[in-house]
Amino acid sequence: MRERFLVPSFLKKFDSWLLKHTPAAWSARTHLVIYYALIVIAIVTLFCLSAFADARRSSHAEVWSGFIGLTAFTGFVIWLIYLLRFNVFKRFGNWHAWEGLKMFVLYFISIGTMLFTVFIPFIVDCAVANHSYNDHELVDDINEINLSVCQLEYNLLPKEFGVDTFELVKRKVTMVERNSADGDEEHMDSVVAMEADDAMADYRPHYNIQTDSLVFYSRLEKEDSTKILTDSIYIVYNCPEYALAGAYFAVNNSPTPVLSSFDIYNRVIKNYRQPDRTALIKRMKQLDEKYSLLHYEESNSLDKTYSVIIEEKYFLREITHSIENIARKKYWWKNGKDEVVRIFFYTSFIITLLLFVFRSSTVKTFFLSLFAGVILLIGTAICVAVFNGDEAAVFIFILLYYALFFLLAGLIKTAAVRTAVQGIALNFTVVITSFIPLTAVGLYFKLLQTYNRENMIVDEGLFQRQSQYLFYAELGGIVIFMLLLEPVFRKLYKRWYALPGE
Amino acid sequence: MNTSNVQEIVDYLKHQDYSLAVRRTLDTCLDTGDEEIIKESVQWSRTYSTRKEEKQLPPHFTERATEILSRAAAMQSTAIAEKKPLLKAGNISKNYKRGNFSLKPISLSLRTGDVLGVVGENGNGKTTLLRCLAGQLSIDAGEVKYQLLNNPGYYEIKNHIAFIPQRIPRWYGLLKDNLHFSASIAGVYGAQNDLMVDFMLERLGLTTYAHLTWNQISSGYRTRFEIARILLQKPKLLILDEPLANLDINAQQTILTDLIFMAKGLHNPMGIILSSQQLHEVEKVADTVIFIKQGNCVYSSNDREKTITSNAVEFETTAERDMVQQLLGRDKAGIQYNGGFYTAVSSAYTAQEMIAILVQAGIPLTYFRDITYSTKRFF
Repeated sequence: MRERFLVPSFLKKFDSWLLKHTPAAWSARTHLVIYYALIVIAIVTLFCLSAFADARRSSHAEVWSGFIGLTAFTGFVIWLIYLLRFNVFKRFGNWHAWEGLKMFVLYFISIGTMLFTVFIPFIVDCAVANHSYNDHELVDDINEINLSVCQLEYNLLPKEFGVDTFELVKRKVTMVERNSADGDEEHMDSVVAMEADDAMADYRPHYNIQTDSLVFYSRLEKEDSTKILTDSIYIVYNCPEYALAGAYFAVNNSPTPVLSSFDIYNRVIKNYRQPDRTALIKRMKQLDEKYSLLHYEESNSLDKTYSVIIEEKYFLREITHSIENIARKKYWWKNGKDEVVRIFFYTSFIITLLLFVFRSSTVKTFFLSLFAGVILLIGTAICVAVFNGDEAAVFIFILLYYALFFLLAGLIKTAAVRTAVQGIALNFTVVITSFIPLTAVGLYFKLLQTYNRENMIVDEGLFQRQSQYLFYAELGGIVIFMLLLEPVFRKLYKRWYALPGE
Repeated sequence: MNTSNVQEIVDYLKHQDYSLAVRRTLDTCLDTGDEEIIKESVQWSRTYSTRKEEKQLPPHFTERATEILSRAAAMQSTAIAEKKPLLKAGNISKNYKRGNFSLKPISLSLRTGDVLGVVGENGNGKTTLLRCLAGQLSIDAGEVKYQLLNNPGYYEIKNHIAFIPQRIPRWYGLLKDNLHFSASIAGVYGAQNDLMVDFMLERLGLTTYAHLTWNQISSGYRTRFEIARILLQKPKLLILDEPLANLDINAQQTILTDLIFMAKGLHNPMGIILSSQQLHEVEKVADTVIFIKQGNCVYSSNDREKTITSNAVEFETTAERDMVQQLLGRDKAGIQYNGGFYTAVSSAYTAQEMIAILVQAGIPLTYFRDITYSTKRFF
């Protein structure tokens, strides 16, 4: 008798119990997938904990994730082989109601579990970084470094603010109608900014840059200081760069605000007082030791700016690099939550769909379906290209195909002979159903956008509404699919598979 | 099954036909439907199986058998499995879109407990007929009624029928797991699942092979395991395409006998349709035999009185053909020689009379058989 590798007795007992009580669940082997996945997760987690112990280092999570992905894929192939051995859909028996739905969920759990292992290096990276450094620490240290170096290197720092002058100009905007040779001209409430250099009261443009009004006003909000000379002329003042240490991920994700150059100017430069240099230098050394992994060589350039001199003297690039690494790991989940969840869910869901179709259909029909899918894809692409169609055309094609496949699949109810065409139609119907609400909503908003553009309608809430409804359509598609799975799809598959051949 | 069956088994024991006695005892206990006695009979059978190789009986073997049998007899009802109409095919025919072969209209019927043998040469339509009856192939004309099912869909039909093809699909994993799985999908769960799998393994003599895999057993045992798997699913109609092809002569007899006993049992009375080239073995066990030639049903044993107008005997001898012909008379019997055997056909003599003439003339006979009602004469 062959023994399964590393399977404890309780799992053997459970396996035997499943075999004799719920054969469908037994044949899905989800219990073994979860068990082996837990072993892999434990091993990988331990390894990552030791390999990724220093959060300051660059992350190698992608590399390890790729390697684990290959392992998970191998596991997936082995699992597939086991599944093919006991293809419950192709065995006639007294199956319970909702067995198809149960199997689908079990496949999803199995695939999800295998896929989850791929994310472990990122999770461990994130956990280690969060354990080693709290949310305030990074930005507090950045602020402290910036304040300290500005106090220590006061004499080296520039004190003059940069100045830019803007003039608002109303101009004609030419709107060119689509498919129309003549353009309609009208005056728009549009603003063009003229940018000048070093010209405070005596306004003389040095060079012109046409800027969109929206960009200009958003810039105004961020400038350190602004003076309005007339209704149309603005002078903006830019503080010199004092925030020499900084890290994008830390700055953008920490609850503690990072001090801007202007803040540093107000605290240090504006009313400068001689600091306790010894204490500050000692503290800077401590911070350097806390973050720097190694020190880069100084550049040989003779024409170094103040920032380069300070960065090299206090190893700010090394510190910044480490803080950025830490912050990137710390906020991995926070920044990539939506993408990670979607990648995880859709990868698992689509593989589960294909697996469900493969096991419910015949091998020949499954591969014919793949072939038909490729042919349809090429045909549709050619049609869309030839007729200069846009996304809406693609969506319409998908909806038309779905209607056709659904109709053909429905004919199985009255069929007397099993045909490949009906099997292919059923396969397509099952695979596409979940995405139909998404396609319909996508089509609606695409048509609405086109309508708005052609009728010059500005709908500021459109994109927000679109993403909201697309999200509902995503959820709705899954719910509709799950609701149809047992009473419609599985019944059709059972009937189609049982039909006599020609 | 009742006391006469018990007496039959006691006779087997008395004549030291232990293997058959054990198998029949298991059948008898299964027919009681009592899990306790089935379990005991399986344990008792195991004691025999383990000692069989050593050619010695376990202690108190006969006494234990008698005890189990008497308890089984007390539990059994006196009812005999009632034969119910199972299948009725009326003028079914099939043409393949590709190829020239066509199955001409055939009608047949089957009841539970009946065995229908389908014989014929290769490529004459046996498998096509079986697949049509199993719902695997569509029919072009005619009708197949599964009389135990009320307005069934094809899924119900396929669930109702078990079809064992000539080339049995490979099993994966442990053989025993496959059996448990089959029992489970037939709705046999938990301890009952264990019991029925153990019973079937013991009944078909497969216990020692249960923990092996498909690659580790011979093709004959694969057939037996497939039969065990199918029987666990309790089909009402069992269709077997050339089930004897991979079996040795002893196994052929054993399997056929076992199938017949199980088909006629109270536990799950079923009808059996089987095709085979082993004419004599099939004719021995089948209630009805049909012979198919080039897609036509040319003979059915149900109509044999109408179809057969002469007697036939098959024999093997070293005597010259002229001498044999002379003894039987050129005007009274025709003689054919085929593959080392003579076939004598006569309307004037019975088969026994033809043999008697040859024996009395001192013709050396190494083999003879009355094939008057056998499909052998059509080959």
